[in-house]
Amino acid sequence: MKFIDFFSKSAVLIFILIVVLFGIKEKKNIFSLFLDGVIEGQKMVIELFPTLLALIVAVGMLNSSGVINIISKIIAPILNFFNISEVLAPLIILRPISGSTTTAIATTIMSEYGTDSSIGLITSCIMGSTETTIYVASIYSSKVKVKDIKSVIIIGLLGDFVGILASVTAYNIGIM
Amino acid sequence: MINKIWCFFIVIAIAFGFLNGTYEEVNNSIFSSITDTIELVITLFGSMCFWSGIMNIVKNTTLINKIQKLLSPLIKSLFPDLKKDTEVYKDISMNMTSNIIGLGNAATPCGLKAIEGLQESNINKKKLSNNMMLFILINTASIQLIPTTIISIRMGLGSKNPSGIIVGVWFASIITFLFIVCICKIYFKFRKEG
Repeated sequence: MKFIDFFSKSAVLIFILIVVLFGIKEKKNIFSLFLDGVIEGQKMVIELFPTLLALIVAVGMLNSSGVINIISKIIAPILNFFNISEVLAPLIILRPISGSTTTAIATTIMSEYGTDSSIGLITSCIMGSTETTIYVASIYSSKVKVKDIKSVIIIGLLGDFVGILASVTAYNIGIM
Repeated sequence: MINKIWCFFIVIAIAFGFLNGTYEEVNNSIFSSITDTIELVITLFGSMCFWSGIMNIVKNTTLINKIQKLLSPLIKSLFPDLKKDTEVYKDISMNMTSNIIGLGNAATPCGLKAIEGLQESNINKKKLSNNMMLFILINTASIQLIPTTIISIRMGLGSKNPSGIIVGVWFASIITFLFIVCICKIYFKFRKEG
C-alpha cells in the first residue's frame, strides 16, 4: 500500500511536470498559457457561484429541518445491506440528477464527518467516479430529439450504483 | 429539473421545520449556509483557476494529441464500425480526451457534435442507435486523470491529504466504465437496431 500512497501523493506533481516539460520542449509561452487558463477558470467560478449559493442554502435548510434524517432512515436497510453508510443516502439519491446539488451535499457531509474519515473518503470517491447520469443522458438525447431513453438511464443508473459500491470497496481494500 | 428540485427543497424544509419544531434551526441554517458558500467559493476559486491554467497548457501543446493517440485503440474497440478520419470519430475522440483531462467545458460541445454525427448514420431517427447509446453511457461514467474539483473541495475543507483519493477514484471509475461497456455489449446482442 506504500506504493499507492506514494502514487496518490505524487500523481499531481508528475502530471504537472510532464505538462511543463512538454511546453518547454515545444517552446510554448507556458506562463501566458497558464494565465489565460486562470482567466477562464475565474469566469467558471463566478458562473458557478449563484448555483452554489442557491443550493447550499437549500440543502442546509433541508438538513437542519431533520427531513434528510428521516429519508436516510427509510432507505438505510437497503444501503446497509450493501455496506454503505446511511449518511450517504441524500448524496446517492441526487447524484444522477444534479451535479451542483450533490457538490453542496458532499461539502456538507465532509465538513460534518471530516474529509479524511471513512465517510469523507467514500464521499469524495463517489463524487470523483460518478456522473450526473440523468442530466447527461437528457442533454445528449434532446440534442438529437430522441425521447425514448429508458434503457440508457437504466444502464447508467446501474453504472452509478456499481461506482458507489466500487468506492466503498476502494476504501475497504485500503487504496485510499 | 433543477428549478423543481430547488423549490421542493425550500418548501419541504420550511414545512417540515414547522411540523417538526425545528424551524429555528432551519432559520439559522440560512445564514450559516451563506457563510459556508462564501468559504467554499473562496477555496475553490484558487484551485479551480490553477487547474484551469494547467489544463490550458495541455490544450495548447501536442500533449493533447498524444493522449488522443493513446485512446485511439480504445475508441476503435468501442466503436468498431466507425471509420477513422471521419468528423464523428474526431469529435468522439476529442470528447473523451477532454473528459479524461478534466476539461468538462470543452467535452460537452464536442460530445454534442458527435451525437449529431452519429444520428446521421442512425437508421431510425426516433431511437438511439447502439453507438449513440454507448457514447452517451461513456459520458455518464466519469473517467478523469486528476479529479480536480473534488480535490479542490477537500483542500478547502482542510484535508491532510487532498489528493489521497486519486487511486480510489481511478479504481471506481474504471470498474464503472468496464461494467457499462460489458452491459451494453450484452444488451446490444439482444437489441434490434432501427
